[in-house]
Amino acid sequence: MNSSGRGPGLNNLTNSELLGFSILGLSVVVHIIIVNITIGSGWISAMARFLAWIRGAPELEIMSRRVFKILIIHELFSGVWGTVITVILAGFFPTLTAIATDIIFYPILIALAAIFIRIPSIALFWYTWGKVKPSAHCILGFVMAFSGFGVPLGFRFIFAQITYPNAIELAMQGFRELSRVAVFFNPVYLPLIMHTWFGAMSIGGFIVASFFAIKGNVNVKFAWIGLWHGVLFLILQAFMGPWYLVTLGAKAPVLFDNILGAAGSTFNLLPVFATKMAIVASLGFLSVKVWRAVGRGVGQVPRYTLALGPIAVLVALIGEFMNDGGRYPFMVLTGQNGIRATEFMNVYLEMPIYTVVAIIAALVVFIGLFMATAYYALNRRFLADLPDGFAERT
Amino acid sequence: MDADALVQVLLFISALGIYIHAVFLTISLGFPWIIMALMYKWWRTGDRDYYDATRTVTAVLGLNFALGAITGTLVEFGLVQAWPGSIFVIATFGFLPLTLELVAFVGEIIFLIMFIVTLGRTRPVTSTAIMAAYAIMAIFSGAVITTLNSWLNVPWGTANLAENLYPFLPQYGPSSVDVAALVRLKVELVRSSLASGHSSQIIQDPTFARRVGMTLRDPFVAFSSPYAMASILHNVSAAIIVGMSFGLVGYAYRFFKTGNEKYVKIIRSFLPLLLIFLVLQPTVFADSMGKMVAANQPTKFALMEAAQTTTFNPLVSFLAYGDAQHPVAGFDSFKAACESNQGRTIGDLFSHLVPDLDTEPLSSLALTDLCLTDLTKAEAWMSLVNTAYYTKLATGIVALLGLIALISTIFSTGILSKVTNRVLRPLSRKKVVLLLSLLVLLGSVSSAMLGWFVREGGRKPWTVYGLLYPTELVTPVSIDPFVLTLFTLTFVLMAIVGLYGIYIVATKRLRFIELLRKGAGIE
Repeated sequence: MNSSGRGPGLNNLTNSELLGFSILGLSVVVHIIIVNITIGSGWISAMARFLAWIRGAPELEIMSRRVFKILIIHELFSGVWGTVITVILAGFFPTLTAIATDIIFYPILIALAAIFIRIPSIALFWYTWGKVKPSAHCILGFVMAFSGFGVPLGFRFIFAQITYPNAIELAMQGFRELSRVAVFFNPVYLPLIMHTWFGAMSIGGFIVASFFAIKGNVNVKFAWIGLWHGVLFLILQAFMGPWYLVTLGAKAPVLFDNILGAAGSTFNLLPVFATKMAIVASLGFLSVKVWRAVGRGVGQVPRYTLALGPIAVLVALIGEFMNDGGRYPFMVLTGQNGIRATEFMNVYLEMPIYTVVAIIAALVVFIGLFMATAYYALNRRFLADLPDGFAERT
Repeated sequence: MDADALVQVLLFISALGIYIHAVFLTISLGFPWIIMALMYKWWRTGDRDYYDATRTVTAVLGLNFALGAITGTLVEFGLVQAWPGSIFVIATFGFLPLTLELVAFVGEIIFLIMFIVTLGRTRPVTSTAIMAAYAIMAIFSGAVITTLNSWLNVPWGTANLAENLYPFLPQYGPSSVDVAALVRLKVELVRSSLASGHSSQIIQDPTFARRVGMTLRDPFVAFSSPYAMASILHNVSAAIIVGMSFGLVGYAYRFFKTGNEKYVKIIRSFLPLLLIFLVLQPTVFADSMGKMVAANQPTKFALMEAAQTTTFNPLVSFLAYGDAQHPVAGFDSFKAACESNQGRTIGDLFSHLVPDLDTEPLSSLALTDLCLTDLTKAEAWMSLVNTAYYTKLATGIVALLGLIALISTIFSTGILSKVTNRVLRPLSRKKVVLLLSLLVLLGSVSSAMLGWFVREGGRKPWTVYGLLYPTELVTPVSIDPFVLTLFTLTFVLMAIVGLYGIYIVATKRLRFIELLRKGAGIE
């Protein structure tokens, strides 16, 4: 496998390479954004359900159920894109997929185990509501919430590896068995996973705050709970973000230079990074304003609370775009250089580009339809606040 | 762990994953028909019982879909994790089927959610149309996945490549591949296996990928396989039958426990549909499948018929070849065909196909030896495949007879009802309905499970029939047995919890209405 040096002329990918790189990038960014929402909202829903039981506070149970509806709608959406990623990876980049399934075998196994637990526990948490003991339901809620953290726990090892391929390098030197263990000792991983988890919690909190500021759905207490979650983890992100950036500076100079637009960068992301910082600042400013208005759950929910969730999502979107797209035209970074996407591209067949574009277009249309239906259902309360059958009896 | 040992362990786990996934996918394919039948009855009669039943079946379908999606993920990831060599197949012949499956998957989710959130808020005919759209997407999903599996069984588009190695095999469609590329792949796989004990890791190397180069000229070729078309009809209809049978037993059990005739009324609404599928399955779909196996997979057909030697069986020959005089080819004829390659080596063959290729260390391997060795490996499956096949036929007949008896018990079918009632007179009606429903379920489930075993076991020793072995595709990772056991247990445990959840959703009454009333501010 050849590392390519940085320099002019490197960025010329063929149509199918660019298509593969772009579709993969789009899928990853969309998937991760939505996963952030589901992890955060899942945790808040489980906590609210638990507190409702412990404190005998039924309104928190209603909150839990409403927040959980946010998760349900987005989880299906994220699941679809997760599957898209798998197929695109194996179809467009078979060699990279083959490397991942070997060197990163155990982390993927962890992520898979978490998914096995996550999706059934989501369905069970929803469908057993009111049908099993509250204690059992709370346990189910926490299983659901914690399994959400388990998915990036495994998959972020892949991202760490393509940013700082310590294990892949060992494998290329012939130490294949050792490399499968070394993958767990990637120095990029810890700041990356912490940055991911805290980001998810922050986004989940802000989304919940915005959700309870929607007309007809306003609830100051519920919005407050979402807000303090969002703010707390946003503050913690002020430490995690720089930690990750400093780590990149030491271990992945290509990505670091691109983010900061340093000389010799292959993809100048400084304007994007500056935009992200400005948006983070505005998120912080807006949070303070909402915090004052909401007043620990006894004040008013101002209309601009609606903006918190979308802004938080925008921050994550830009961050993930920089983390993934910032390696362009490389797929795997190797210190000062990298391995281009071209190296991993499917060379076994003439890519039926028009068919692939048509399929992706159909997917986008379908998913747009799905999201419209889901949000409409959410807005019109077609997904019942109360368990099935209850509404008809009252 | 060497490749052979890994294959033994991972074949078991992969099969377990597929069988567990099958439980949920059958419900995903079968329940829409029950729901549509119930919706139709509700629309025509306005009877609330049908609507309530629709809600319950829909809740089960919703939970089941989540479980099906997750077990499907295991099967998909399992394919690339446990059998990374299959990434080559996914990147070539499986590329379009799997990409199209994404559309089917998204479509399933859209229409299922749409049905759930609009049920009771739109007209029954609209809800039925939405459920029909879901059913079409579910069938489409099953069809494209079956297309990929069918390519593993019959590698359509590789023309006479396998026939060159095994002269008893037929030609598989037109040549849509670069033969040189496939030969290079095969040589490299064998070379790697001899050097390191494992093969599949070679596709991790971009240099190797470029050396193999453009392999597939027609990415659509898997769809043009007649074997795939027969498999789709056979497999999807079998899954629908099993799924509907689960629903049947659920309501029969409710009737048994409560004696409430409304459950029989619900069963009556979808039983005719189940009968149509159960009659079409052996007479049309299985018949067409059998003919395809006889034509394209001679070793599998011989294993099914335990034909160690070529035999004459007018009934089997008529059904399989449409000619009662046609001999059922046995392993003796295959071995004789192997002898036709006497004196030729792999080197001779490959150098003929790819003149400049270095075929070491394969070049001196005699084609006859290779052919005979693989036939011996295939023959070792004979008693298993044969027993499974004939037990499958028997259990299928049991399911059909059970359903006919159930219909004659529930509906008035003249003389047939009289005979059934007389035979089953010692048993109460509740017991009869449950017993016959169980016969339908057990018969159809056994038939489907054994049928899948015959489909997969019958193509051994190859994973891609006549071309690639499991050892060439299996992961090079020597998986820690503890990790593997833990992973498998997690999966099985979640499947059990999921099934229990389905039971709760289908049966338990609500308990916390009061608390939620307070929470909602109603009290």
